[in-house]
Amino acid sequence: MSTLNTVKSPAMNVNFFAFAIMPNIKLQSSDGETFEIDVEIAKCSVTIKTMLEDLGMDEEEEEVVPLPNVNSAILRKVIQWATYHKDDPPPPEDDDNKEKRTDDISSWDADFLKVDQGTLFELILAANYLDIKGLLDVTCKTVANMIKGKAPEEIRKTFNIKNDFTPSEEEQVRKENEWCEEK
Amino acid sequence: MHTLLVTGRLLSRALWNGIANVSSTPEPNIHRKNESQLISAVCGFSKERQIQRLIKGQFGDDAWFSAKYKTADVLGVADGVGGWRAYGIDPGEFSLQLMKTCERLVNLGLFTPTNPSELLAKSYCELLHHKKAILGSSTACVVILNRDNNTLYTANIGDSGFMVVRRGKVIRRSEEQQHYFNTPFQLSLPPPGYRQEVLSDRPDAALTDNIPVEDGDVILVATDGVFDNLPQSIIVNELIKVQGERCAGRLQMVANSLAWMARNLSFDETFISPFAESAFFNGINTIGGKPDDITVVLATVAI
Amino acid sequence: MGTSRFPEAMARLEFYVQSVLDYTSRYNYSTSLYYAPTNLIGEYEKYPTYGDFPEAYCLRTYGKWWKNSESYQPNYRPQDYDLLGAEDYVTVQFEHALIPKDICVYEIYNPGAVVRIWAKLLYQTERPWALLWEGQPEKFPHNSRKFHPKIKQINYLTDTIRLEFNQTHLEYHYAVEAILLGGYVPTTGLQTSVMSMGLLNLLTEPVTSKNQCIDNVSITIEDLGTDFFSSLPNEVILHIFQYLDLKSLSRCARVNKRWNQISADALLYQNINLKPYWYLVNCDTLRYFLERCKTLKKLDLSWCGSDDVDGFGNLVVSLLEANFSTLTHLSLGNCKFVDTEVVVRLIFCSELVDLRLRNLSWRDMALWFSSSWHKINKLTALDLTSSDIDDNQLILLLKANPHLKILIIDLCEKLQKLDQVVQVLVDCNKQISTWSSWKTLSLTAEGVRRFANCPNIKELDLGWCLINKDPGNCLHFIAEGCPQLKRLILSEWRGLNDALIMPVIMSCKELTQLDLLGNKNITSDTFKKALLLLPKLRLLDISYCDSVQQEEVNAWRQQYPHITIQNYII
Repeated sequence: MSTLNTVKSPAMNVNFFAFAIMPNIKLQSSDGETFEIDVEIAKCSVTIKTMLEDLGMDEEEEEVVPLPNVNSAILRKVIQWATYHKDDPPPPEDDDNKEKRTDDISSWDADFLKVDQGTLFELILAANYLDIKGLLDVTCKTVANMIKGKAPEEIRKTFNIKNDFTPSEEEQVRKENEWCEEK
Repeated sequence: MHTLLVTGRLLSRALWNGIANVSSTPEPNIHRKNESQLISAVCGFSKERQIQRLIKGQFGDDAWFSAKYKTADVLGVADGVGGWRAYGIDPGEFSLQLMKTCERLVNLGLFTPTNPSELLAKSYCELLHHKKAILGSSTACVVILNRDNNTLYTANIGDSGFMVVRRGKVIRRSEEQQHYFNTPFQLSLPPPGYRQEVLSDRPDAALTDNIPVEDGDVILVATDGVFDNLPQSIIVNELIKVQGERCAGRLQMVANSLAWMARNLSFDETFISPFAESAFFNGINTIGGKPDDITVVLATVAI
Repeated sequence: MGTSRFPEAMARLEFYVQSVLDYTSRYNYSTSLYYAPTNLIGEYEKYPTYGDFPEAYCLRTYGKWWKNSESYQPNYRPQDYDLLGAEDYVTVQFEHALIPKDICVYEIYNPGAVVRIWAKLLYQTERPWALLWEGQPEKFPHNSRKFHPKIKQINYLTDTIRLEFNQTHLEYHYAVEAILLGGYVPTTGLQTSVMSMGLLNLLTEPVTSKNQCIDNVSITIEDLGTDFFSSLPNEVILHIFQYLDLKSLSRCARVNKRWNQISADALLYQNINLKPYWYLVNCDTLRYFLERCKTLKKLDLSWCGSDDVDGFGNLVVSLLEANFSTLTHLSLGNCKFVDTEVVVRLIFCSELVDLRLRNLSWRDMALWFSSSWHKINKLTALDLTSSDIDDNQLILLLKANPHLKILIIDLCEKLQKLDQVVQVLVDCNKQISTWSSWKTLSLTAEGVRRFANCPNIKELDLGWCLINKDPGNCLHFIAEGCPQLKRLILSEWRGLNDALIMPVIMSCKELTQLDLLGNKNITSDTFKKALLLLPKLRLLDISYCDSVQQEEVNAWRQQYPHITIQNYII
């Protein structure tokens, strides 16, 4: 985890996006930093939205929402993403088609996700924890694109994954999955 | 207009470049001894005196084709009905497309060697599905030499016809089909709106026949421009000359001479042509040839 | 490395097509010769003449017009798609097997659609297809082309070639006249036997060693970075995997044990489209998916199974049986394995809403309907292009499926009472929005008039349906009853004239496509009105309408640059 925190944050002030929009809410990252943002933007996170509703948090009150699973660097990125996408229509109920293509990532998102693997995976975890479907989708698509077209060994290299198959197991799974390999 | 038709164009022709194998390659043009075939030649003229653009397979409103497939040699002529010109329709297009389509059907083997009228019918039905609506009507005659049994299968609609001559004797000649004088049976695709008024005969109205042939038999397939202007005796006199002929060049000479005679007589105003005789029987007093497009397809049987 | 190793004595040969084995697209009836696939047979005649000749093989579709239509089959699994967008193919056979060196494709109308060339290798029973060439589709308007790409040199004999086409970028119909295969044949017995055992290739490509090399290298760098995947919960990995194509998934299965287990999750195999992998799919492939598909919803097996017919159909049957209650979409275009066994199982797929059965070689559709066909009653889309269905069967289907929206019966030659079929449609299928009966024979003006009682109809393809029949005033009724009409195809309605088409132009303001090909009696005034009065018009086809002058069309194109006007005349 220590490697993740060394990541430089983008030179953009989150307040820049949030100016003049009221009312605000304060989010606190795992390392104690507080971010003040528009409630509507915060509500793109189903987790926060539910929290506000369940806890009956009054929007007038200046309460702080603790987010123990997200550090400040990642939370800053998440807020940046949510602010940019605040006016997007709500994502469709999961289904079948449409969203499954990975060549439809917008150029803003693509630039936004030009980060090291550590940050990308932290973002996935944060999106998953905060339940932000749009962010989870686009980060997962980005990882999917890193997997596509690669041989198993290339995938292992890309993600530093250990091969825990014994040679005979490896041979067996190779056989099981050879339908798509051109000879 | 001269066209030699002796070389059978094989559909999938192998072009052999390798030297090693040439000797063992069967030459497509050399036929095996025991197999019958037609050797043929074509000549014709448009009735227009000035030279027009020459299109292969067409003389004025007449059209013809010659094709081979496996066990069959096929010849055909068609005569587009000129009356359509008055309706802004090119009469030659119908007959040309009818023959061209027959040729293609034969080349692709989509016909029955014993059923020439089916071939005509298929070709006719096909015309309907040309994006450019092919309109008009035509008489036609198709003959197929079926090599399996050395028999000539024939079909004719209207006054395009054939004649088979063996050692100077006419052994078979097609019968003309007419609705009334100078209005032959015809296959037609009239423009929408004229359907009621137009005489149209179904392809199955074709007269069919089959004739066992012998080596040396002479076959003439021609449009009415030939039969209306040349008395049978003249035709037979010419056909005798190529009895048993296997040289395409000499066959061509006779085809040329038949067509040339027919053309000259068609413009001869004093000659009592077969057409004039027929007119006389129908109570019409006329004399002279009948200017018309002329198509002669001449063939001999080689077994 | 190829040529130099050939014994010099091998003979060089060239052949044109001898027969057409299979195709996915045709313009005309199967019994007709014009524009037909069989025109590929033999040497070219028209080339280098450019034009739309009936003596060539013409594809039915072009451009974006079909792809954008509501009846176009959606990709059942968008993760798996063909990068080159192949829409159609044709498979041809040559007289002799050769080691392929050259392929020439003689394209005589709107060239540029070829995206792949495959060779079916002799003596290879498993996966016989080898890719000789692939490339982006091109565009060479107004000129014929001899397409002679540099093909991959292989040392196998082949006598069967398949071309894949993508014609969606072309301005108008694509036509190809001939295909030439050039190459070498062994001349000695020794060469022949070496060939037949595939031995030449054993000498050339050491396939296996490559992977092992990488493996060795990887050991040294293995422990350098962090495995971030290990921090992700399974459901998140599953979320990532759902974006993967089938090929990538099967590679993920080989990464490690955890990935192997997650990648086999049935959730990832609810929608399967094997069409892009047709050349790889065999019985083993089906067994692979049989293990994974537990709740299959959509299945596209189009183009698959043509080489491995033995047992393939049985496995498809098993796949269907295992997923009876969940299957909603099924596409079996050009599937040679479809037989009575497969079709009988279809009847039990009671949840089916989208069924596509294009170009099935199986010719016994009557059996299909013999018993409990009415159990299928949820269909909204049905594509029976080029099938053997007869009127009574179709009527039963329409009655059983009240929610039908899309019906495609193009080129169904057995339909003899279409007027009656339309009446049933009017009575039972109120939601019908697409009717396509391109080149069917039995419709009359009376039948067409009945569509006026289908207020939801948006697409009406009646091309060539009334070739030589009197259309009467049927379009007057259509214009009144079908205000939502977007796409209207009236090719070769030769009896149409200005007065008869006018009501459509006056009333159907939603029209985006109007096809009047071959309507000689409609004059340029009417076309001018169509351009002026139809605000949403994007495609107007007036090819073979003789009454229009080229200069006039050019002026219209200037004036209405957003409308594509087709006006080809031979």
